[in-house]
Amino acid sequence: MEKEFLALIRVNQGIIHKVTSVYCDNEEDRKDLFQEILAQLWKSYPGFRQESKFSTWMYRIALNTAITSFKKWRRQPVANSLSLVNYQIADDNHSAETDENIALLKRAIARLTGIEKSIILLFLENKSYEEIADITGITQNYVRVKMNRIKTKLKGFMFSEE
Amino acid sequence: MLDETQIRAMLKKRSGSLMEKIDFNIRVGFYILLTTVVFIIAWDVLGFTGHISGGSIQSNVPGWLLILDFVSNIVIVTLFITFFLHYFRVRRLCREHCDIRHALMKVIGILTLYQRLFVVLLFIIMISSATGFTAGYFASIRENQTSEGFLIPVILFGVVLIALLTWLIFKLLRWVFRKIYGNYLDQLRKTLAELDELN
Repeated sequence: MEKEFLALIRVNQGIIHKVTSVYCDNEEDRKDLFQEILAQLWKSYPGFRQESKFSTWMYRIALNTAITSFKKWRRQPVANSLSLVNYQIADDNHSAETDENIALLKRAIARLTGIEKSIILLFLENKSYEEIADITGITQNYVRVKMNRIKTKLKGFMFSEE
Repeated sequence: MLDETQIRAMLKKRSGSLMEKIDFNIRVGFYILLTTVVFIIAWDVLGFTGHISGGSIQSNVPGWLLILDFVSNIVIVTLFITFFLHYFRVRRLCREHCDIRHALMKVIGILTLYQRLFVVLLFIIMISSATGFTAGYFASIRENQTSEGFLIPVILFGVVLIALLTWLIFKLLRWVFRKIYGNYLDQLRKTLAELDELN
């Protein structure tokens, strides 16, 4: 079972990197949260019944852990959060302007609440409203309402920085 | 990206989250409580109190106090075992199947129960200790045949002292508990409230 688990984690570890990048500002905290999520995944793995996709299950555990951990992630200047970015928002062939926009977006995301971060992360991962509702435990309608609010909030943060 | 050896190495390290610390505290608390209660029962059953004091204290302890002591021990252990089983069942179920909202609800539920149970147990222990202390205090007054003139001030002093000590210990332990878990619970509740805003 351990071998199977390790193989699955190796292939899907991007999910943990994305979650830790959204929730932590610095490398040390990211490592701590990564380890915490890994530990929770390993403890939960015997109960994984393949009723949902492995990635959905992984997101659920990872976000549950990130949200309920509430460790006082050491606050560092937001610019530091750009040093290690593992989640892909745009494709690799982007211009300097796109880079700046991505940086702005990441700084804006860092200012969201824990729940908002999880919803926007799942949205950026192209998860359907149904899947987001399934992972977060809220209704699809509420996911839509929340998404609209998050977009407005992000726009506000981004314009205020420009 | 990490390879399997690095992932395995990370898995071997201990987790440092608050929930893991709570797990650890509950386990340790359970073993300490169990050991203490077993020790107290063994002490009473084997009659060490009587041997040490030459039978004088044992014979002066009222029967109702021994019963109260026994009942409070049983209540404490039963409550703790019930909580212990409930806690780990919910934690396991939640880890495997819960969405964020349900995970938050379960963790809040468990911690609130833990907090309430802690206060109830503390109350039982405090009442039990205070009653024992009072019984011993009165037995001592009776044995020393305190004169009528001193009796009321001595009793008054004793009662105030017991009440003050009980209140102080109760407040202190409750403050320690809130200090450790209070902020965490508040944050969890705030997060859940955000999720429940429109649901």
